[in-house]
Parts: sequence; structure tokens; C-alpha cells
Amino acid sequence: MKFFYSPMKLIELIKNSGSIAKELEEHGADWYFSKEGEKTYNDAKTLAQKTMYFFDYLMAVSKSKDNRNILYRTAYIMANSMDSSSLEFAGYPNILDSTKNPLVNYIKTTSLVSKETTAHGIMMLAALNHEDDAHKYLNTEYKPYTRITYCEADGSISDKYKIERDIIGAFCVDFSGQYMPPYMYEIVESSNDDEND
Amino acid sequence: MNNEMNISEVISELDRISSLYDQHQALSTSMDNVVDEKKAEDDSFAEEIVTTLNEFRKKQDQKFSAKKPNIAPACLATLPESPKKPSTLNPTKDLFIGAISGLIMMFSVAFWLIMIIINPDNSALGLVFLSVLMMLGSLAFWFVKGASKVAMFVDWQKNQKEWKEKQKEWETEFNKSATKEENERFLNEFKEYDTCFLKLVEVCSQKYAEEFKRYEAGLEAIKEKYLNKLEQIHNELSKVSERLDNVTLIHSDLFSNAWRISSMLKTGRADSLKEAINLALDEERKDIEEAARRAEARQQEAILEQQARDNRMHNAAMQRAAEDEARATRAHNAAMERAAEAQAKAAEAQAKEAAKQSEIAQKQARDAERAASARCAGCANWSKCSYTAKQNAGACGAYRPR
Repeated sequence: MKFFYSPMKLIELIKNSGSIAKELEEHGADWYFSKEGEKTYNDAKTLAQKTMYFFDYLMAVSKSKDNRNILYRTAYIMANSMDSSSLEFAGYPNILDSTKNPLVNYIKTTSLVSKETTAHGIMMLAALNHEDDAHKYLNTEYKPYTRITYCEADGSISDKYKIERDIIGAFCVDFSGQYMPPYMYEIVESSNDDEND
Repeated sequence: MNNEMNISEVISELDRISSLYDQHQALSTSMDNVVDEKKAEDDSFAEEIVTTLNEFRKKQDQKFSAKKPNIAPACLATLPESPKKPSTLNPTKDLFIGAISGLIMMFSVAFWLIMIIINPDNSALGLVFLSVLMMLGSLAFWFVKGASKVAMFVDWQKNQKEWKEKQKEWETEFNKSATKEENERFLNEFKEYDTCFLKLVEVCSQKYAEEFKRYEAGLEAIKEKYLNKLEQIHNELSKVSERLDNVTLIHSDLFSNAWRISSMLKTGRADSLKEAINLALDEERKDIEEAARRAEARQQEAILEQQARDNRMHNAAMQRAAEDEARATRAHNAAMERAAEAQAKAAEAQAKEAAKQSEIAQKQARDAERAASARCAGCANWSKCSYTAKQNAGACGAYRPR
């Protein structure tokens, strides 16, 4: 530990005490719903800034803060496709609201102990589609590929498509098989879609 | 005579019943075998269909051309971790205390130095005393509390600065990759992937539908093939069953013992049908008990055999362990023997050496004695010395040459 500092350094510390105190302030989840939180959200113009904002928010609300990788990828998805969509969780403050945003709800309620990104991705995909049984996105008996959105006939893509693909792209490409979940299909299977539901 | 005729008629009837019953059993078994054969052929055909489908799927997988779409790695690189914040409940207060105590300390030291340099006269002794007090007090406070508080914030500021630089680098890399074009590329790759995958599903589903039709047709053909056989057996079985249904001599439950009942009458062990039935049932019960006893004995034998095998294995293992131990003991003893031999040899050599040394020492002593005696003989005081003194010539200190 140093004992000798220049007087200018000490004076600088005193001068900047306000900004230092501000930087040291811990922002709890509530701060993000305050005026200051809203202003910070509005000031985040680029994708990187939005991602950082959502990442800090998810760190504040998450049950487990060790798995930063999962939180970061979720923040990226929120910034890249969810916030600018026309769905119920787009925009401030809905994007942060766990009752409207299923990914935030997932982060808030799940203990992110597992490092398996694919498992988290599947559960988020299921949550996005309001599905209780995430295993249907992994078990070929339930034809998982039929549970996600595809392009329209004219080639246009919906907001849901973008969000789903962001989730699959961020979490499920770590899967080592030829086809990442939920793109799983067995040729010897029941032809009846509802048989196993 | 009538009784004997009745008995012989009864015996013939019983033999007929027994023959019919055997026929019935044979036909039932034959039917079961045909059913099993049909099931085996059905299963084998189903397996062939599944194998065909799986091989088709493998070929389609090899043709799958779309690559896994991926988000640019820079977009998935997690933000650098921010530095640990100083653990303080009131950062402003701690910062002020630290910085101001540092400034006071510097001022006090400067004041004290000035007092020493100007070296005031006695009238300013109070000031000197004050300067010393201030200096010591502020130094003590600084070293105990102030310095640590300042260090906490200075270190954090340094780490924070480094972190902000890393964050800026991260943001630069991120912005390079997170462009609209990159996002479009990602979504287009997924569209292509979707198209390829859904095409694979469609092609495989078509193949599945074809094979399923072939499967159904195949099952139908197998069913036809065995249906005729089964019908034939069934007709024969029905005829035999009808004939058995028309039997009135004994109850249907006794058909399986008809041969036994007949044998009782033939051998004269029973005089009447009723007696023969009772004896037959008794014998059947005994046979069942005997079969059960034999089965139990076989089971016991198997258990004993297993136990004997286990014991043999255990004994063999114990023997091997004992042999290993004996071998190890022998090796150990041999090693001890060799060590003892070596020790004995070393001791012998040592003893020899000691003996040699002793001989040398003795020779030296003798030579010294001889020299001393010769010297003694040449001493001027020789005639005055006692016998004992002359014997200890080596220890004499009164030598005087003649």
C-alpha cells in the first residue's frame, strides 16, 4: 500500500469526490425504473450501449451473477431484436418488466448454475413461446422444429422470427451435433403431430 | 361279462379321448407356432423398413449443404468485468477523511520543518511544540487510517480507468461487427438453413410415407400368407374340439388324464371308472409333487455347485496369496541373508584391518622400546636407574648422554 501521494492528487480526489461517489453507486433493479434509469435508457443510442444497459440491469435482477456469459447473451438479444420489435415487451419500461418480457422473467427466476448455454437457450425459447415444457424443443417425438416461427410465404420475417433466431444463434450453436436444437428430426417417428402432446 | 364289456368299452373310449386330446394339444401348439412365426416375420420386415429409412436419412444428412448460422463472435464476447468497488458505506466521507488527513499531514510536516529551519528563540517554543504535536498527530492518523482510505480510491480509480479502456475496446470491436449488414447476413443464413432443413424434413417425410405404405402392404401379404395356414389348423382344431365336446364319459377337466385312467383299468389297478379316476388324479398329484421335488433338487444342486465353484475360486485365490506371501518372505530372507553376509564380510575385513593396525602399532611400540632401551643404555645415569625405570625407558625424562 502506498503512503505517499502528491498534494495535487489528494486535491483532485476531493474535487472529484462527487463523480467518484456517483460511479460507486450501486444501481438496484428499481433504479432502472426511475427517471434517471429512463434517461440512461434513452441516452443509449447504439446497440453496444443498449447491450451494456440491459446487461447491467440483468446483473441487478439476476439470482446468480456468476454466469455473466448467459446474462450478456440475453442482454444482446434484448438489445438487438426485442427492444425494437412491435411485440408487447418492446420499448421502455416493458423491455425490463418481467411480467411482459419472458427472458427477464427467466433470468429473475432461474438459478443460472449450469454453464450449458444450449440448455438455457432452449428454456428461453420455450418461455418466449409461452410453453411450459421446454423438453418439447429437444425431444424429437414432439417435432421441435415445428414449434418455432418461419418466414412468411413472401420471404418476409417477423419480429418473433428475429428474436427466436437470436436466441438460437446466441445459445444453441454451441451444440456439437449436426443440427442444433430445435432443428431436430427423426425419420422414424409418428406422423401425427398431436399424438404425443 | 357285461361289466367286463363295459370296462373294455370304457377303455376304448378313454383311449379315443386321450388320442383326441393329444391331437387338440398338437394343433394348439402348431397354431401358436404359426402365430409366433408370423410375428417374427412381421418384426423382421419392420426392422428392414426402419433400416431403409435410417440409411436414407443418413444420405440426406450428407447432402445437407447449409452451414450453421452464427452471430459474429465479437457480438457474443462478454463485457469485461468491472473492478471491485471499494467496500465503504459512505464513499464521500471516507474520501474526504483520507484526502484531507493527507493534506493536513503534509502541511504539519512542512510546518515542523520550517520551525526547525528558522530555529526560533525561546519565545516561540510554544509554536515549535505545536508543530511537533501536529506533525506527530497527523502522521499517526495518516498511517493508521488516512493512507488506506486514499489508497482504496486511488487503486479503484486506476482499475476503473483500465476497465473503461477495455470496455472501449470491446465497444469498438462490437460496433465493427454489430452492423445492419451483419445482422442481415445472419438472418439470411438462417433463412437458408431453415429452407434446407425443411426440405430435408419434407423429403424424409415423403420417403417415410412411401415406406409406410410398403410396410402396410407387406404386413398384409404376410397376414395373407399365414391366414391360410391358420385357417386350416383352426378348422382341424374345431373338428377335434367338437368331437371332444361330444364326450360324455368323463368331465372335460379329466381329458388330460384319460390315458392314465385307461392305464389304471388296463392294468387292473382299478375295477371301476370312479376308482380309476381317483387313482389317476392321485398319481397325477404325485407326479406333480415329484416334478416339483426334482426341480427343487436341481435348484439346490445348482446352488451347491455355485457355492463349490465360489469356494474353489476363493481357495485358489487364497493359495495364490499364500504363495505370493511365501515368495515375498523368501525373497526378504534371502535379502536379509545377503545383507548379513555382507555385514559379516565387512566386519571380517574391519577386524583384519584392525589386527593389521594393531600389529603395526605393536611393531612400532617394540621399535620405540628398543630405541628407548638403546638410548637408555647410552645414558650417563644408567647405573643409577632402578630396574623399573629401565623397563620404562620410553617414559624417562632424565636422559643424559655419556
